[in-house]
Amino acid sequence: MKSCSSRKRWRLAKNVTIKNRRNQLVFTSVTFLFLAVTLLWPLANLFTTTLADVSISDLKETFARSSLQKAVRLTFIQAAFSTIAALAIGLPVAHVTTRYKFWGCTALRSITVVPFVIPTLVAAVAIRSTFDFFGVDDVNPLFAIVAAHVFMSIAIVTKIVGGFWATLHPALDEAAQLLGATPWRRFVRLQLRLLRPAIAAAATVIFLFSMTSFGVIRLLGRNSRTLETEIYRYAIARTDFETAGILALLQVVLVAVLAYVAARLQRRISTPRHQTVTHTKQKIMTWRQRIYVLAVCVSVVVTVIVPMAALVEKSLRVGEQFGLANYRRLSQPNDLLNVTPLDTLLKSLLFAAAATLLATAVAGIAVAAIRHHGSAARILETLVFLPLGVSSVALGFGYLVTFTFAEFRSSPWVLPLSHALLGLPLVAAAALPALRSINPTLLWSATTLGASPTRIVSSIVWPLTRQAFFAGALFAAAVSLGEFGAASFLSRSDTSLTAPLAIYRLSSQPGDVLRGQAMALSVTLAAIVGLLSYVAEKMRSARTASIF
Amino acid sequence: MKKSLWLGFLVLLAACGSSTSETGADGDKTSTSGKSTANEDQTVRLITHDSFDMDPQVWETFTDESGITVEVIKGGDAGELVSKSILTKDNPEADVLFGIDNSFLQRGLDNELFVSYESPTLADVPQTLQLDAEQNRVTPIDFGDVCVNYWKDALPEGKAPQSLEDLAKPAFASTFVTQNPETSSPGFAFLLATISHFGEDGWQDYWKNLKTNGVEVSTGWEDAYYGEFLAGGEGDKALVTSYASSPAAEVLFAEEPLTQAPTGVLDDTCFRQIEFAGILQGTEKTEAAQQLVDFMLSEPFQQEIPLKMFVSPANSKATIPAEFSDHAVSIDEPLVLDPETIEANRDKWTQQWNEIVFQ
Repeated sequence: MKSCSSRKRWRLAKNVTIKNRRNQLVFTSVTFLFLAVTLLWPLANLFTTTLADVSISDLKETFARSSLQKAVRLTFIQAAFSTIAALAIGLPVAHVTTRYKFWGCTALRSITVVPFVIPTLVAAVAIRSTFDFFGVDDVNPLFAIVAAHVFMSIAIVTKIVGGFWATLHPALDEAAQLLGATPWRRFVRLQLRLLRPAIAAAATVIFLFSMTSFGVIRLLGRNSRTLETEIYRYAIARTDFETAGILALLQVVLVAVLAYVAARLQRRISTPRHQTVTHTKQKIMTWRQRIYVLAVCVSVVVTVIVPMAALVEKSLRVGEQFGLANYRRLSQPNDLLNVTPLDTLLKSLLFAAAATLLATAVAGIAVAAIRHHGSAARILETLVFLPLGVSSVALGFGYLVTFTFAEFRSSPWVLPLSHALLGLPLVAAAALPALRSINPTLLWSATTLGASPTRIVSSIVWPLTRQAFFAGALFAAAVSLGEFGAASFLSRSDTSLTAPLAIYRLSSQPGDVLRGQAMALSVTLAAIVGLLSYVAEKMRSARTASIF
Repeated sequence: MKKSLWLGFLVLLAACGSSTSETGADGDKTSTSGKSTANEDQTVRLITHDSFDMDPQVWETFTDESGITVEVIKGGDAGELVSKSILTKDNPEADVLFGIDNSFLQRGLDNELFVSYESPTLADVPQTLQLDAEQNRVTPIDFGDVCVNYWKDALPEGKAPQSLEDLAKPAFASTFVTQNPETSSPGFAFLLATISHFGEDGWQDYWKNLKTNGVEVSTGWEDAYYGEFLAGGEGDKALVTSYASSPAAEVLFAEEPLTQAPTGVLDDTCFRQIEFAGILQGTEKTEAAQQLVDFMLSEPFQQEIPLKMFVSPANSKATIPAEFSDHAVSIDEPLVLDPETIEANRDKWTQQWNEIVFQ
């Protein structure tokens, strides 16, 4: 009797394992299929077209160019500085907004996302105005680049690390306090240690993002050259596809190595732990805390709010006065665009909705596959982060030579697809640390108690990762609304004019009216993302449930 | 349970998302060509740069006349447009390309992008614009001039420079912003203006003088005009490389009605840009493509060009609206260079320019 039941249980366990394996295979295949279609196939196609006649000596000759070595060096230097600066400014913001209760706290965190959506052309204007505001003349180009990258990517830190921070259970900290650890020691040895996976994920995203940054380098770098701008220069100004192809391949290899190292690191530092989804904020009690919170607020004001305010000011300027005329004109037909700027905004929102759903869905499947051990999962994780670091020119041109069937390459639907490709790593970066820190005993206990896999997902996994998924989805939406990456190098049907394109078009002709509308449209775009971000934060604070 | 359903729903959506994307292209096509019920019922694809705009009603007149529907595709800036077309030469994105200018023309011709077509309307186009008159692989559609503009309040009558030479004089130290010729089409045009004026051996010294005189180099037109030039309220430069038509745009899109443009043009600094249309090699709709080129050269299309794209129509019979002709400066003797010389020296010149300006 006894042996029978244990055999039964063994069989049950075996069934579960088989089922897990099967699910794992399905998840891996779906993710891989998505990446194969949207990333690998176009890139492979492009490289076979452009690099067909390249010999080893060509490679040697290209790599020996001092201009290229200089560009590679600057690529890494600016990306490293940008990452460090964004972390240095973003971490205290993440800390303050998750640990302290004060007026405007949610708004403070929400607003950091806003610059993410601003088209680089306009972001550059904001940064320049900020330098003017503080009376800084003749800015060092590297400093300007780093400042712009911090402005645009500080949200990655505040959202990914902040969201993770909120789930650290206060009991740990309280225990440490009880045992006599000083606040500094508690912060360094406990909090920071536990936060490592989220910090690493944020750092990876910012580093790759800065590596392939294009508009910022061009507009603020005073003719500085990075790998990405060199690829553009060879492909466009010189129509030297061979050299451009070699550089793009070099970039892919470098990014893949980086992403692989990051994936390994992630695995090493992720530890399951006690988690909470309750709010663990404390009131500001001491003067010390008050000064600290105030200092952090000032840093956000300087890096995010002042640049944004400069744009708002420009959008409100009507001739010599201030008014709402530019905003009213958004709903009026425009001489230049054939449609109203509002139409382009609606189109952008539609594409963003599609891209966000697709990115979040694929990311959900991807992280389910990646969280397992083994080399397949590690390679998949590397691939998932690859889109962030692949040259936009290369990928856009890859689409051009690949999606020729039924002219899909210039159909409006290729846009959400290419946006989703960029959204995928952002959602994954937010969700993975959260997923990995779920205590497995929690899942085992649930299984032993007879919970079905769907029940486990809905009652344990989802509540503990929901916040991270929402943060990631917000980034995916912002990326789509701001149209970075390959999409900017695709050809567009005239009927799919989106808001960022309209902003560029309106800025490409002299005239105050056009300029005013471009600014008003940018601010509206930013306001939409700010609002979305605020609502998401509020929804989170409304939830109270605790899991140990 | 509800939540697991929600997750399942997401997965489903992903599946739907990718399958609808695949069919999207066809669906779109039928909807646009569905309009033309006339005799031919054809769709012709026109690929052009981002600054192209045309009144939809003008396209409708064409469709009514010919039964051909035009689908406009924007392919980035002028440089991107040419690069893309060369890359996709074997499987072009469109039937007709519009927007290749004289600075890129030879590159397009060398890569055999176009098939010859001699439009009957070419008779109304001045000979000086027909740069491929022997084979007519491209058809001139419009022209404009890239010129140094000045802010009138900062440089009142008599104080403004008159020539390229003046720009290098101490009186105009640190007042001029132009664009990088490798990243900007007007920037390249200005470099060509200096090469045309000072000759192949003289322009380098001129640029060295410009550099000593504090010339500012920006990446693109937008950051030069709005970031560095006085127009945007941010910059402090009184001189900028822009277009002969920029004063007209300043008036037309002014916040309050203006009788006079706030900017002026230095007539002797202008380089002529001519934009062409060409029928792309590999099209199966040659006849419809030819009709489109004819239409783009016809008066209904040509007279819309000035206020839509701020350049002048190539067809000399086209009427030019007063809003444009009152404020856009017409240049009688612009600086020129032939496309073959430009293409043969392009990389060398930009390389030398880089060494002078950035080293």
